[in-house]
Amino acid sequence: MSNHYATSFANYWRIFSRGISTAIAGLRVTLKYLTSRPITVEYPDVLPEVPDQWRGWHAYEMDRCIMCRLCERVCPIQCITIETEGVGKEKKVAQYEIDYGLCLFCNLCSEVCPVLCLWMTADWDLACYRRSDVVIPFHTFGPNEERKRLWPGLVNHPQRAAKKAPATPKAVAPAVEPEESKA
Amino acid sequence: MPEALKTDEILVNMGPQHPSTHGVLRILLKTDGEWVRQSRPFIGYLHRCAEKIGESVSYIQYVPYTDRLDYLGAANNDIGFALAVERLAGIEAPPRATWLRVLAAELNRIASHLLSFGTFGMEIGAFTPFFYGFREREGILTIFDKLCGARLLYHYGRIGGVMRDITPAAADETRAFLDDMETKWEEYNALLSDNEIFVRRSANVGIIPADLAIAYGLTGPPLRASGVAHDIRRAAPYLCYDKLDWDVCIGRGLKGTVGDAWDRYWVRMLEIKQSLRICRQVLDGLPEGPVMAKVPRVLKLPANELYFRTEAPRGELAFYIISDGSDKPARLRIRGPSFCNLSIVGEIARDCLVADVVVIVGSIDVVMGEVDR
Amino acid sequence: MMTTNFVDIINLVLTWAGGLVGLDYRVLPQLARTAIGMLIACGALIAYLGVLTMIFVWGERRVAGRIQSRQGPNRVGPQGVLQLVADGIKFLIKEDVIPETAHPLLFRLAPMLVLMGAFAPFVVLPLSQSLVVSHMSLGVYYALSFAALEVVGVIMAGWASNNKWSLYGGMRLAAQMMSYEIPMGLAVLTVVVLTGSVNLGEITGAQQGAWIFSWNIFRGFPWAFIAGCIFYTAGLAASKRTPFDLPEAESELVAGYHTEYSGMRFIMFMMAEYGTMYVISALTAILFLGGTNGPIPQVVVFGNHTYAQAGPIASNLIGMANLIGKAYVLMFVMLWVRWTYPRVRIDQIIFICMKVLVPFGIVCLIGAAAWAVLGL
Repeated sequence: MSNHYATSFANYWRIFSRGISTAIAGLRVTLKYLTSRPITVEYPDVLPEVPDQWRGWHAYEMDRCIMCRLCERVCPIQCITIETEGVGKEKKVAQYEIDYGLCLFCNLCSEVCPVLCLWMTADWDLACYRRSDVVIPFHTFGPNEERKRLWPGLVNHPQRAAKKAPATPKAVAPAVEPEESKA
Repeated sequence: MPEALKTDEILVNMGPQHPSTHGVLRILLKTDGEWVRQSRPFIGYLHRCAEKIGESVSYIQYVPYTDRLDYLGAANNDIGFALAVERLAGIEAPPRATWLRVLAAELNRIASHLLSFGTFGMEIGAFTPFFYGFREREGILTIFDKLCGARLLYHYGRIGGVMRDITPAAADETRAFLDDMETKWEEYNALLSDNEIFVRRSANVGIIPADLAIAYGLTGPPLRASGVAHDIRRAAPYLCYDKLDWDVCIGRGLKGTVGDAWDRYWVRMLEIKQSLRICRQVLDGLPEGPVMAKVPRVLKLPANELYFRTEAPRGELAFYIISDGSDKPARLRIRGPSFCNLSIVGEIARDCLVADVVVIVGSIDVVMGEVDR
Repeated sequence: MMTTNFVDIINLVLTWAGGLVGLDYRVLPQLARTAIGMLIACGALIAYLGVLTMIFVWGERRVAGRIQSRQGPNRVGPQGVLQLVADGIKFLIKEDVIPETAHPLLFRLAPMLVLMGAFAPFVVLPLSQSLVVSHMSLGVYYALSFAALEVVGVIMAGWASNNKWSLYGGMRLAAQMMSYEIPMGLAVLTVVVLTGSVNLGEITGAQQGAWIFSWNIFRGFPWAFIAGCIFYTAGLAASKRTPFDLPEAESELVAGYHTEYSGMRFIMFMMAEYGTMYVISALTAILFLGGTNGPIPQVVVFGNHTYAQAGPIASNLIGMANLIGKAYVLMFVMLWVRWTYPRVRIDQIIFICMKVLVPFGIVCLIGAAAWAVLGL
């Protein structure tokens, strides 16, 4: 048990003077920030700055997909559900869903895709009102032309874009702001 | 006349929902008025079967799970696991990846210590340092944003290297942050560290003598604050820590006794400074080259076992992997530093005031994700 | 020294209003007129307390935000001024939750006692020279004695909640508040010895003359200056503000003695806290910083020639500006201090009281008595 009660005379004055001096020093620090600008980003009036390499939710080009199921197998938490219909040349994607309630945002699925049809965009706004809306059905997003209309920035896989324009230093997919909410 | 008064000891429950315990921790206190006679921590509220999951996913798939153990110092976790698997598999990460791993680990150490600084202040009653700590953490998290695309759970260290190279913009922002942090460090001392009220609350409270610390298996800042100069980055160097110039920070009892709560707090503040030093050296001396080695898609490890330890912000984080020749571990055991550090609370938090229990738990700085896994 | 008070003013206003309507207010007996005037005055004071709480909770949240590099509430209304109205509505429509095992009478009575203890001194505190409900001859003594009523209320709240954490908070607070009334009393006695009267009006009157250099802190230097610091610090402890807010220590005891209170009962505790803060600030301003004689002069005198003298209404307004300005600045300092310092532990709180403030208070008292005897 530490003895706080018996203080010698010299100790008493030391505590007293240190108390006053450190009190004033502390007040000076808080006064400095009281009179400076706050750093708050006033969402939703001001949107946060998100870099292009942000691991947000995915973009999936159904036309390029070869249904190898590598993404489904590599996912650590099995949040990708794939159903195909038909055989051989007629094989089509019937269901491609990612459950964002489970997704770890680890990027393993994008890195393993051999045809670069799946990548993570800088789209960070995943909020929705119903629990079931957290499962995003990528196969219902229609042909790519419609998706490019809906999400104009969602043009290309970063590696493909880098190959096309190697001179520009920031050759990655630009930040995506979808124009409508995903209710 | 104490004999004539009938006094009783009451059992008080702190937690699991409590504004001050670091996560879901329950501490049962037997108090006699304001004096705590006995205390016992109860854990397990955050158990997520991390070790069992390790047996059913492959090594490459398990790396994102390691992030979630000590979620405040995530970069250290996946780097540690990746190093353990690389040792077993005989893969060597390229030098640029090694240096980038050190950068991520040390930046995360600063972020974790800033958070511990803030929450410790908040438990003692100073609300403002919490916000200042988070303001600086915001700087680090935006750097990680640019580095790997995530703010808290990075999955940056991979088996074979790191995920992505650092861009010049991110490097400039890191340098700017390092310079800014030096000034802010002085301000934190003026506001909290030297404040007489703070010193009187934490000095001479929760003294852990060096032999008791070693006996309980304490590691990290609590051990070093008791005067034991044991840092795994120096005792068993990994990555490139032996090539960099930095000091091991130990507690010297500047404001009270060696090993008290103020010392544990001060060791973390000193470690922030050392991490700033390391980060600057890494940025200046980053070697060229690729950032990822060739790793087979299906990584099978030969039958072997390895206990690999790293220095996480909270202490010795170790992975004990028993592999059996397949691509999934046969047994994966994680030694979380906070688990051992927390065990000393029952020993130390006795014959002190209730207010001191909060200070002791805060100074040891546990994260329940590591304790319960 | 002015002898009109708030009740007289109200009676004047009512007479004039009665004249407008055609009724003669003076028909009512004197007692009835005084009673009606006092009721309206007390109603006005309660309204003032409510407005004060709203202003200062808004101020606290904005000041806290700016100190912490963030903005406080700024969305509800311009600059967030309607935030408190929104919070008030929220508290009003909350369900009245009383724990099943709480003591039914004491649980309900406790917030009322605390609010009474915080609010009663308002009767004696002036807003300007004549805007005071009662020119009590016992002014300061009356104000200090009601602080003791808060202690009873808090112990009641801690015990009646049937919650160990509330009990801890209540017991700590009892120790804290009772001990800190001693240095408060000693500091007030220093001023009383200097002035020779307990009446707040006379104390204010004695601080007239040489602009701010006639303030008590300069008149009785150094004793009154130290006594002022002691009074302000002891007042911080009496209003349970950080660094002495152990009884409501959020990180340790959830919310201490008012853990189990919600809705309007909680608002009563909050109003009591801000009320005590205001009482302490206003008393410091009156006793030590000149009260209504302040930076803004009411009479401009050079040598023997009076250049300007304010009439009764103007001098009242200037006095109000002086007093309220000083009280609000002191309250701002209370907010600033709250967001800077950590919390002091209970045994250290008692250490500060008994071993620092009380000895200094006694020294100041003896020094001021010596000053008074020597005629300084």
